[in-house]
Amino acid sequence: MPQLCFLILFSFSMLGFGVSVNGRSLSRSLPDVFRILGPEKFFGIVEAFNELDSRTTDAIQMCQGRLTLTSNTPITTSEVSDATTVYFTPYGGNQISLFNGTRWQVVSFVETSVAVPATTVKPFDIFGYNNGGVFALETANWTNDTTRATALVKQDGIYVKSGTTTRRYLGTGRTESDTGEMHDNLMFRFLWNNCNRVPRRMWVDYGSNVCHAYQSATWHSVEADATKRFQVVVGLAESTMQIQINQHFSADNSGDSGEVAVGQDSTSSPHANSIGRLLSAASVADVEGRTSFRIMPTVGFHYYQWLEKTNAAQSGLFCTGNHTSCSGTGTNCGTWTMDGWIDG
Amino acid sequence: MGRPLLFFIQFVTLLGFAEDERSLVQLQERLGLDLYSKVEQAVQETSRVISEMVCDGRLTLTSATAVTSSDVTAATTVYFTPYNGSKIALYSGTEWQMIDFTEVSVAVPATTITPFDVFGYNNGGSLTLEAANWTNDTTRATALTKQDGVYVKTGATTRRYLGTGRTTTVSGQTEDSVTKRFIWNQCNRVKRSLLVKEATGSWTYGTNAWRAARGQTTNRVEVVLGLAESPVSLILIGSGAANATEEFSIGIGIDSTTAYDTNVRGMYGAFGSTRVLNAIATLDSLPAEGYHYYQWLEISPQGGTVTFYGTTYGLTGLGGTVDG
Repeated sequence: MPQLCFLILFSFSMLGFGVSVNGRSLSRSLPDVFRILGPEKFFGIVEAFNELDSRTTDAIQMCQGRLTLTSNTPITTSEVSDATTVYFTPYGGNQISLFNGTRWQVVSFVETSVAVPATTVKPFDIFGYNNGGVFALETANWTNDTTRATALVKQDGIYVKSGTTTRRYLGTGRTESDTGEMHDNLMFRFLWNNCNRVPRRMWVDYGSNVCHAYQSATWHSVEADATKRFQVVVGLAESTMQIQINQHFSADNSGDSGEVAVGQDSTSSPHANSIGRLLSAASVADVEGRTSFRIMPTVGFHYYQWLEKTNAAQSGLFCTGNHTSCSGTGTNCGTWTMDGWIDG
Repeated sequence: MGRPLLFFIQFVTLLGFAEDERSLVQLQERLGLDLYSKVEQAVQETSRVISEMVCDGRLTLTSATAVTSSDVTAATTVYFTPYNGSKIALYSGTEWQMIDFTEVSVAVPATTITPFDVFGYNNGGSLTLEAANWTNDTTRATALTKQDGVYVKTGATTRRYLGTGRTTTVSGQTEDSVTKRFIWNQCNRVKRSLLVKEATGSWTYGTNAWRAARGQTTNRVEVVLGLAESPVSLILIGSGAANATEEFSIGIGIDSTTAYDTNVRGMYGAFGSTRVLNAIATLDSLPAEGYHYYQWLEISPQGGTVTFYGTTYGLTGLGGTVDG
């Protein structure tokens, strides 16, 4: 066992026993170590190291993993749709602290997975636990989009499952309209991490060269398309979200104006945090404007709708370009986008 | 985790002792005190590199809420509440010791518009907080220093630095809101939103000089930072209308109501025939430690009367984030 011998020698010398014990070197070879100390003291030292080390190592909360829908990819950069498996994969290490009912223990783990629950449009929590020395995952479905069936509680400051404190809370997912499937893509951030959150990009656009008229002072989904939204699930109200909308408005008459905004869980009302809604109130002008929006969503599922309105029954158009003053074609005159990020 | 300790954990795991629960007393008997003390010293040394980093808490103005999502105003108490754990390493004067803690608090100092540092220390086995006022908005009365890479109070290294607050104009009160981020964390920072909106429909301004938007210095967001480590990212979206020969711009001033910061980009609004258009300015900065405000500014470069809009057309304002 060359690796073991190396580690023993390395550890003893590294930790100071390579200098001397009773005036004799311990770092020359493994037999020397045994000969000088004898088996009883040698393994006693190992036990002592372990016990003393655990006082600090096990006390330090570790969670070196992330939930992901792609195996061995803690941060996905490609869109993942219709996934049926959730993975907890190492990230920045492979150690995690788990509560055994009495104390916390640091354990090593390899990538572990659990099936997406056989539900539709429903959040679920994901927990990690020590299953006979092997790290394992389990899920717990919510009652609805805003209410957990089983609450989270804190064990020594760490979120665990109420009533089963050996289950460490790792994050929250949400199924889509197909049973047992879920997304983690630019429009659907349905996997949220409690450990090692990173900004997750979001993006939606038309990607085509179109104009449409909407001549009403009533807010509605952009181009009456309710799919132009971001959908997210968050397990704790700790994640900041940022959205901006870039949109073009072409006013054909004096007094035309167009506005865009972000609605939270609404297709008819902008959220008060939307600033810069105005695109144009002008006389035959093509302009592009930007709306900016930030929020810390409450726990559960939310959607963020791209909204628009005009000031009255005027003839302005919301366009991607190629209108009036733009002589370009395709998307050369610009594209509409709603983009942003959420920590998860 | 430090590389040496990783090796050792792997070492004891390979030997099958990872779950051993033998008491320290028994081990002392087996090894003898001299050898045992050497083992203990070695383990403490290798563990030190990670234990001194532990800081499982956040300063907050709402009890048991490590990350507040609603505005908190007129707060009189600062809490240090567990966050992703409940342990903290504190320096005894000779070594780092890790202790468990539950939420603890300290009263907001009886000052006005003055920053204060918050420190944690081991008070007979219990985490206790204390505050230390700054001299002014940019100068600490007592400097921070580093003990093994961890910020502590100069002259009292047993006091671990946890963060910085700032009192409002009311003595003994502080605030953590989208307009005033007056509590800043050294441990476990998260992004905090900033936002100020103009509730007035419209107003006019006709001078070629920068001023606070609508002449109101309240059109700003304010922050306090304990260390120059937290980026502030802002976007300002305003709107205005000028006649055929007028134009307007908007900007963001750092600690100024009369000059925009040179790092601001965007700003120009309209030049034309009574058009009402947006102007956008953005700013990313890494401020120095202390108090800072970010002022929404406006100007009429031609000196003619410009109408600026708040709520008449859409909604204008200054928004962003700060790590804290």
